[in-house]
Amino acid sequence: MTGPDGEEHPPERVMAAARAAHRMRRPDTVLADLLSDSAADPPPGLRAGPGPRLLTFGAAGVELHLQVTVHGDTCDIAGQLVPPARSAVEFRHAGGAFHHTSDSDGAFVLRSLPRTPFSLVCSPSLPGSRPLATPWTPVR
Amino acid sequence: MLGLLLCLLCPMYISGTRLAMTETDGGPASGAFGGYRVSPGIAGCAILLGAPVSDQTHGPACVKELVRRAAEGDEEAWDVLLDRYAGRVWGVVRSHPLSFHDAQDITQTVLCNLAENLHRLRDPERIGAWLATVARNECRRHLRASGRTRPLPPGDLDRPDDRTPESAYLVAEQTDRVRTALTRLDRPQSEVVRLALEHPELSRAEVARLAGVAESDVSRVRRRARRRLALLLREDR
Repeated sequence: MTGPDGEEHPPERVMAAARAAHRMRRPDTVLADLLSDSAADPPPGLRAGPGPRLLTFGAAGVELHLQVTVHGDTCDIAGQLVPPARSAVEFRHAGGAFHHTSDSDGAFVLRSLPRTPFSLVCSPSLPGSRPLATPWTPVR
Repeated sequence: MLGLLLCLLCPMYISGTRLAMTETDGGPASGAFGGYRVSPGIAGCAILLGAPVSDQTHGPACVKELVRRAAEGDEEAWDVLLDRYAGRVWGVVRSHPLSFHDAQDITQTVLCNLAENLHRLRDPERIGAWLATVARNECRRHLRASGRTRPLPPGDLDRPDDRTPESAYLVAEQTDRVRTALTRLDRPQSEVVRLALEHPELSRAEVARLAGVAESDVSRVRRRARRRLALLLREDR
């Protein structure tokens, strides 16, 4: 399948995911920035090893620390909100969304997730805070 | 079915329309959760289909309008944007030495982030440039991550260096000649040789996909490229 300028389109799987992402948009959120990624920028003096990948996102005074562990075709994500607060957590991927709630200290574990690009939306129960969305991120 | 037809037809007509879309716009989308909405989009496309006016090609104002509508949840506007830009993103990503699977994941990531950022784009008319930059950055980040996991054998660090200035110069000169010859190869030979040089670990199937040749032709292209390189280097001497 080609586009208007004769360019090849990406596979349908990718197009379907892009359509799904549009349906799952959350314009009400603050989009978090990726602050660090152990896979691309390992801590000084260390090589990125086969261990879990550590990701830090942040915006508007809230940080979200994630630890992503891959098991074959699935992955687990352990997360921690800083400052700690109970939070609704939504895991978005091409196939839909999972809803979860963190504990009262803002920690959560999501298991057996599909190993595809994902985005998390956290809605912490902090006074005056807006939901925080991470950018879509590939799992590697 | 109608949606598919429209998404196939729209870019052609939008490329030659004078913004019939503005008039047909509905009110702002319902707030949270993507504001799913269909009817104004269909109306807009119907007008477009009926009025293929012809002097504006991919006009910036038109893109801006599409972005605005898609940001409000209009799925058809989003389909038109995807149809117009997904191929470009895919092209940028495929120009990096990535496996097919990684290229799909990265393209998907970039397009999903566009969806999420529709209402945050500062210059919606420069969406193409924005996408290309984001795609390149995402590829670099990925390559940086996969490149770091290759360790250097510790023995190599202590080996004596027996190079002299003369030998270093000769090696550099030879490298330069080969590099110049490489730039004179045509596609797909140049791609196949470059992949063999920089990513010898890739399988024949991956080389075929990246270079855009049939898998059964890879060896033949490689052989021809070698012959041509030998010829170029002989001529050059």
